[in-house]
Amino acid sequence: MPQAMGLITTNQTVSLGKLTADRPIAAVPFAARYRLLDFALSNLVNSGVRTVGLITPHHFRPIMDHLGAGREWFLDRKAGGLFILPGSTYGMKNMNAKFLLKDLLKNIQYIRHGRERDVVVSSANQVFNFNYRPALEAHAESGADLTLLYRDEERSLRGRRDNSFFLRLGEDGRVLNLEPAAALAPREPRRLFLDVFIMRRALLLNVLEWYKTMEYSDLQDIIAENLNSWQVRSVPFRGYLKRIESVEDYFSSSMDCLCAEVRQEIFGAADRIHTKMKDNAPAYYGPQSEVTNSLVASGCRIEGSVANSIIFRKVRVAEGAIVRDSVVMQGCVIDQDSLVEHVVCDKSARIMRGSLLKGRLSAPSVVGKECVV
Amino acid sequence: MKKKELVAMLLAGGQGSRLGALTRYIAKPAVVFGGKYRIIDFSLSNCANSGIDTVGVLTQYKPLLLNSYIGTGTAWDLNEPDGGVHVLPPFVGEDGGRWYKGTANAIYQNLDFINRYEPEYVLILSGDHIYQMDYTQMLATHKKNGADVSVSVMEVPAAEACRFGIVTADAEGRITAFAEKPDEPESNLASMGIYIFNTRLLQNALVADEQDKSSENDFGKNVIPRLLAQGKRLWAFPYCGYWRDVGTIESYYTANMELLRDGTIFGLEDSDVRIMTNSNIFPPHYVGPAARVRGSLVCNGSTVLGEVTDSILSTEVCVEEGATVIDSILLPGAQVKRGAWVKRSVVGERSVVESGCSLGVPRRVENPGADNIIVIAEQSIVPANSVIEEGRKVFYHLAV
Repeated sequence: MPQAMGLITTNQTVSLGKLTADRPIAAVPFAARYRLLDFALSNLVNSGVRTVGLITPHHFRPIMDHLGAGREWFLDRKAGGLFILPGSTYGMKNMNAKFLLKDLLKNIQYIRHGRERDVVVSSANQVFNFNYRPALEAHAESGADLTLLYRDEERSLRGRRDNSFFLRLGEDGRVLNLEPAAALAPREPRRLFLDVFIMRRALLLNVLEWYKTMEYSDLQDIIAENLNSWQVRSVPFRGYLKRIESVEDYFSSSMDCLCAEVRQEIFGAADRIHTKMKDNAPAYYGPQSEVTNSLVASGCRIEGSVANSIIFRKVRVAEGAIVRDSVVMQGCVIDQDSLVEHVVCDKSARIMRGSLLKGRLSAPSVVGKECVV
Repeated sequence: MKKKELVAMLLAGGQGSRLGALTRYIAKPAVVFGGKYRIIDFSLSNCANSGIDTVGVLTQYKPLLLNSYIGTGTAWDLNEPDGGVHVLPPFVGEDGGRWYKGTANAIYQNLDFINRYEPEYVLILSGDHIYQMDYTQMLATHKKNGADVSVSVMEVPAAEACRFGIVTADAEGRITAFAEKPDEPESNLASMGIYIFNTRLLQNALVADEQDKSSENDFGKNVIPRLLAQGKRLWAFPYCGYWRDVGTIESYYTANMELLRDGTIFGLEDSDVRIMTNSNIFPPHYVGPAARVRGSLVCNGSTVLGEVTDSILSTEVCVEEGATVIDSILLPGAQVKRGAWVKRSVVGERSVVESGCSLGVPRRVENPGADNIIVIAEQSIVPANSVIEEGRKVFYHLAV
């Protein structure tokens, strides 16, 4: 039996404006054929986890549509599998929690029924490919109650990290503090908490019992409060990681996929990122097409010119159309003689003939789902 | 076991020896076509799209890839509770075992499988044709005609008729004569190797064929002519869509290139009747800063840094910077290294064309009659700076 069961929370209020008008952040399409959730889910599955609970937000339709029975992630199985767990705050304004206790309490049956020793808890708004197996082994060997995953942040990458926690580590690798960036001294190393942790299942059940009257707490805060009473260790991640909390994050991370090293790390590793299969035809390039430095998915028909862009499945770029530095999602049509630059086109948008659409690199424009421009 | 109205039997055991190097390790139905498909995808998808949920796939020649590819049929939505896809290899019984001797013998040996479902009709298919067809229409016509056997036919150019089984039919469509690869064809209606049989008649015909020691146990050569001679009701079902037999390197190459004509082939991009396939999940393909891709099909997982014109790039293909690919088919995992030049070639799965190679340079000596397509076998390496002329039929074969 696998050592751990998985728990992914997608009931998190992260707004990407129009891109999350109709869908949770976890369901935002990414890298021409994936959704952000694919990374969290694939990392678990690639680490040998075969029981995954997914806490859903109120607008869960796109998530369900994407996951189905979980076949593409090898979760349509007899032992374990995919469990869709209702979130607790449907229709209510969320308080921006990452691991809201109420969500976990409401689904305590799922955790109770597990037979695994540990639970891997993960958020679903990050782009990274990380096999947790070594972390799971280290966790079991050290006898820790909790193992937090983190990544050393370079100073230049600090940016806005309002909702993120950082680790302060002791000599022996134990976690001494878990706190927001503001609490860190200027020269202190930035160790970003990955919003992924391994916890003994029995301890998690106890915590839920102890804190059941404080259901609006965030498990992250409870961990921070109990670092002295529990054995909390840490495991570093050294690969590419991008947390998506804004349109700018989304856009820059999308553009990162045009870099060979990043692509190799997230898509070229032995562990694949799995996603829903559609069986589209191969992409077709017309006799006059000009495509450079772009990621193109299947089912596309490219007859115009595309540069430095991410082109999702079944996009049409007509002759004479120009797409530059943009993200064009599934089913969009870019008509003849139109120009699209620094734009994110949500699914099935249509840019009519002769249109001119320009955003800025620092603030890309977003064309909403099914909009006609 | 629930009774079925119709069970499909898909003949996928052939070696496809005329595909040469392409079938060195795999059976013909497993050869990649159109970038992301394998030839058998077309028949299996046709079954699924026609609502046929019970398919027996007869495999024999180098079946490892084919068997694992078909799996439980999930990729074609054929994982049905009563029925589904069954891979049927030759087997042994108390009287010993035998290889499948011919198409008819292969079905004969699996009559038990058919009987399990007690179908009224059996649909016999080949796993090596590229086409899209709704078999329910053929079945409806079969019933309407009160036929014993229906044979799907299409018109072919008179010059090519001698390559096919040729059907002669009366004005209503009842078959009056059938000749397998005749020297002097009576008509230009070619059998597509798709038959619907009334089950009882099929059983009797196969038992009779098995008892005839002179028979080659082939549907076209033996079973159909014998039934005609017995005065059974054989009807032609006319089909006029796209259908290609890709049994030779030339026809395989031509059919692939036809996909490029306007980037669409029947329903390849029509989601209602999609061709389903059992592929791994690859990331989208990447086209590099200095790349140029024109008039081509490119599949997921590929990287194009060089120039690609009028070609088909399958999954996980890599064309390095400074490399040129023209009028060619690169099969899954093929690599064309820096500065190589490849024209009118089929580069096999996971083969490498090393840097500085020139494949398909114009012939110095005219060599009429020879085909001019170069085939690099699966898992081969073409050493750096090799020069291969067009018209030189080269099957490079150096295991990696």
